[in-house]
Amino acid sequence: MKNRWWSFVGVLFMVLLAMLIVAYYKDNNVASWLKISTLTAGVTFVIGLCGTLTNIFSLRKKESGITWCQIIILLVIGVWIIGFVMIFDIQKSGSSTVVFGIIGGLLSLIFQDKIKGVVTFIHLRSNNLLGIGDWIKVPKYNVDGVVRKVTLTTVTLSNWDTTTSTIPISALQSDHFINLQYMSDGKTYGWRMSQSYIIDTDSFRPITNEEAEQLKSDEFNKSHNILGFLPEEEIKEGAFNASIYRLYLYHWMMKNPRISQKPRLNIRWIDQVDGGMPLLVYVFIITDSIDDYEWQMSLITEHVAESLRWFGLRLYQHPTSHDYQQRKGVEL
Amino acid sequence: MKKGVLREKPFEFLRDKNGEKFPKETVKNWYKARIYVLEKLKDVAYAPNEEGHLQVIVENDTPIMLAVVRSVALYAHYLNFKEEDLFGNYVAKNRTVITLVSQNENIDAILKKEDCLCNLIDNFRWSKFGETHNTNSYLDIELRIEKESVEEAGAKIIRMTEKDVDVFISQQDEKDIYTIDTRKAIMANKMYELGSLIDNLPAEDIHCAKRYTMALDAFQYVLLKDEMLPLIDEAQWNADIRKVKNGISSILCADCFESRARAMGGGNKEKLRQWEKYNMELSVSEHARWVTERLIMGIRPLNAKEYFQYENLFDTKRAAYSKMLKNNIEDQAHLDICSFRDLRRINPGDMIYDSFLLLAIPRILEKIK
Repeated sequence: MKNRWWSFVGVLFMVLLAMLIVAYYKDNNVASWLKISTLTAGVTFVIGLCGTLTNIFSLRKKESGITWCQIIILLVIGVWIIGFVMIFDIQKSGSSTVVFGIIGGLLSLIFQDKIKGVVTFIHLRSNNLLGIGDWIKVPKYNVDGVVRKVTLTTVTLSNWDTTTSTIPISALQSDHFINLQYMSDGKTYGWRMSQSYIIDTDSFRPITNEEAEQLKSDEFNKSHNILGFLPEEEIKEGAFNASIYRLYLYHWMMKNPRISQKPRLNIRWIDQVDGGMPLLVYVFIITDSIDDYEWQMSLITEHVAESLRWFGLRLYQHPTSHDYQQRKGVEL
Repeated sequence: MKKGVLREKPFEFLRDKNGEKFPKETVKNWYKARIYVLEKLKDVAYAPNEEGHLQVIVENDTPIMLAVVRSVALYAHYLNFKEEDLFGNYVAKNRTVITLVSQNENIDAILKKEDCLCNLIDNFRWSKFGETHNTNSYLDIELRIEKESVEEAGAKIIRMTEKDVDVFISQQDEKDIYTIDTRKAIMANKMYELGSLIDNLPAEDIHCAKRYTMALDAFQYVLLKDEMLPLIDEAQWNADIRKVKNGISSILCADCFESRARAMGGGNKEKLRQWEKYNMELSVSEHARWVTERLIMGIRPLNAKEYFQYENLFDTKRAAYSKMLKNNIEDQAHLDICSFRDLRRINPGDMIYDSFLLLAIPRILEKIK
């Protein structure tokens, strides 16, 4: 709707400007006025029609239809300018040409963002960088949502918080934006998960013979299947529990059908913090929806929390009032 | 390009693990079974979204009928096969079922031999007199050994008998039976090589049929103009069994072109959009066919210890280790022998071969009619 208003106001502005110029420099010529009026009416009609079609095409995600409508708008504006020049025979009059040039220069200055928008529109559409329904992020404008409408000058988005944002399309040329649609469609290697878990270093120690036998026992493996991910010979008395656990978690991730081994799959210790040693899980989850991605992340976190205990390890957390209460003789 | 048909004899070059040639009678049975099975399956095709499956009943377990079982396993791969359901569970829906009628208690040992199903037995779902093995198999083909012929409700049934084979073979020209027109296989081989040139997989869409189509259109004219040299290079094929297996792989792949084209509604250029649209289904089916063929050719998947070692290596060392296993002539193991879903997460770079080759099929069929 806003776009149609802009088209209408723009055309009206140009008509008024033309009338002023012609009234000043030329004798009143009824035939010429009739021609320019007809041309203006035709151009306005085509722009209106294309605007309406753009809205209809946006509903059906007909990308090529939208692009053609916007290009037609651009062309009819060009036709109007050429028509204006020809009808009033401006090229033959030296003084008119100068004034027209000055007016044109001024218009370019006033509408520079619009002109940039047109260039950006053509660039984005011809390279398939932006489409209706694409999930994009524009950090500069704090925009994170789905593209609903693209015109020569603006992009309208529905944000995840159910608000609507309209940003100048030229911003997508001059500023950084992220298109997450290919990832969202599950066409890339996966959705990145980078999560660290702080392990209490007090629980780091070599495993005992009993623990090793327990980890290798049939009964234990029937429910936890550690041997499906770690060879038996790796689990032995004296082996460092944090090291075996990292190895276990790495091979568990490598065999997880929802985790891609490409482009990277990394399980590593990162810089020691006050609470302990963080174990970083850096993997790519194969999915095609944000809800599923978050669900899979939760499943991984739950597995980490559960499996740490099997190796005598524990997650770090600050002592709570419950911990203090459990220690006799300590007053709160 | 030579105008004439190019007929070659590839099966004679196959050898067992000890490097010994297979008996002449076995090789003859392979040729007979190939031409017979292709004829029997010539009207079978399932479109990607079609429900239903094929049941092939092979009566009797004589050598020729076992060769028929082998050929059915090599060729009966259809586009409606579904690896997994919406929950991500392996469901292997619409598998082709081969029912082998046999009274032999030791039939599984015979099927496991190198001239029959070889490593396929360890990897596909099969049952003997009701006892099922490899229940979680991801492959699109299943074998049921029954004492009596049992027809499945809802399946398209094709019955194959020894008498039928004999009658069919007796009506064929000997040259047509014991030689193979390799022109399509040669083209398939060329397309495989072309696919291997694409080493920059687009990260934004690792399975982008449209781009592969563009690459094919850009290069096909050069490739198709090349002189068509025979598939078999005797010196190379005698020296290196891997060349033989790869060459035969192209033949087996090309033998399925027609059934793929039928499922797509035609192999002409007007249907190219269909091939692009269903590239994923085509790729899943082709991958299942390729895995079956590799297993029958004696190549196996990595075992648990090899996987563990593979996973403990990184970058170029990991690739080198996988290549080393693949090139070990005594006991070839291939990383890509897995489901298509696992291929996508383990070795997505190799998905291109299936996709690329399948998009080339209508172009090849247009050239070689």
